[in-house]
Amino acid sequence: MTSFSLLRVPYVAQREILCNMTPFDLYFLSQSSKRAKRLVRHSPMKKFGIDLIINGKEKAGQLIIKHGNITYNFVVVSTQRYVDPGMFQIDEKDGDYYYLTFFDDVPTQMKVLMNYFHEVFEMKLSTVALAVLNKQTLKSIIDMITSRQPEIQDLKLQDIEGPGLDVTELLKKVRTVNKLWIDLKLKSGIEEWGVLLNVNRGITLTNANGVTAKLGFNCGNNSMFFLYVSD
Amino acid sequence: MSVENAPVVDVDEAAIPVEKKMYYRFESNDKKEFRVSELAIQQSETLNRLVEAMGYTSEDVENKPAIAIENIDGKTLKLVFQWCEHHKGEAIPVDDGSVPKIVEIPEFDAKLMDIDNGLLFKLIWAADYLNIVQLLNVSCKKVANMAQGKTPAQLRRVYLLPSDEEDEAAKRAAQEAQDPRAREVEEEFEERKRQGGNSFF
Repeated sequence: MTSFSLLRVPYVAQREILCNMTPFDLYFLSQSSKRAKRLVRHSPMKKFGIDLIINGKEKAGQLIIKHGNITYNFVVVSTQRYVDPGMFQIDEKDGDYYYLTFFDDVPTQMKVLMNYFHEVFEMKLSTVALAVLNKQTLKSIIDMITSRQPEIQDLKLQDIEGPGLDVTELLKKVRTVNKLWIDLKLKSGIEEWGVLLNVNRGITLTNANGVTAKLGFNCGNNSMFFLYVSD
Repeated sequence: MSVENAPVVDVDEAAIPVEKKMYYRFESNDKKEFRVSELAIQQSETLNRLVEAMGYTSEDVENKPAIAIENIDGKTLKLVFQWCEHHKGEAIPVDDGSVPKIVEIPEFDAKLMDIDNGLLFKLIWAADYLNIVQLLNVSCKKVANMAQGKTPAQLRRVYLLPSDEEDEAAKRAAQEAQDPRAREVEEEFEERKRQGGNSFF
């Protein structure tokens, strides 16, 4: 394996090299040492958005790093084979996908990864899609999102377990800019911050500004939903 | 007037004064001399400004000493000028800040950069120093490509990045290599502080 002294090239060249690396390369480079982690802060990764997708039924999570039409997919799966949290194995597929196998359960590991991308690369969540999760897991992910950013492009919540689940904190604190799709049972009494209407499940609405909300939920025998329309 | 209606005039080509191409002479730090066309020099912002400022005539170019480039050796400069001659007349790319950056390495450049990493390192230094944007782009792309498909441990070896332990050891060694007298003073000061002394001096 040939080597090249990355730390000794001029700053402009160093930045140029980092600009030409894929998010996969930059992520793995940042993992190589503390100094490398500091180095990748000069990369343009912060311009990428992140889609966070967790489906409890599939026991896998996906982080899609994207900018325009270009996407890089990190698929996270869990194994008990590793004893050290943070230890992982990389398997590549088709160039656009990286499978990362971790010790921790998928939602926990997704949170760790998300925090890492935020802290090291200053990246933000663009879209969040959560499905088939228990309340505790959902709460921990919501806490992570609300502590990180005041708005999100798209939010999709589906088949979250338990009746009367309260995601109002998330919806109050994090403004959904583009699409909001909620397909689950919610606590009633949320009229204070939304428009209360009776609709069928999964209806799509578009406001005057072209902002779309696709949402719906059941509350007992009544179909109710709220609509948070962004400015 | 359309092209069809334009009057046709026979031109005696021999009568037209042909503008003589000017070749500048440069010298590397190991005294190797190179003759480079004016158009090729335009790929380097640094050299282009330099020759503009000098305002050399064709006679000056021949009669005055070669322009010395003191930071670059002959082997590296040869690659630089080969690249400039091949790409002369091409537009200089402007960084539009797009992400991810798309840089293609043309076949000629790939062959030119089929060199050991030590020379590639010098080529990048030269491209940066001489401000040759596209040469810097392609050479950095080549270095970036070295990362593809590597694990963190492999990347540390590829890019000669010290491990955290090595960094710590180097930091300790640097502290120990401080001026011994300064260290003594520091230790004495700490000792007096511990003993509750009011003043060091």
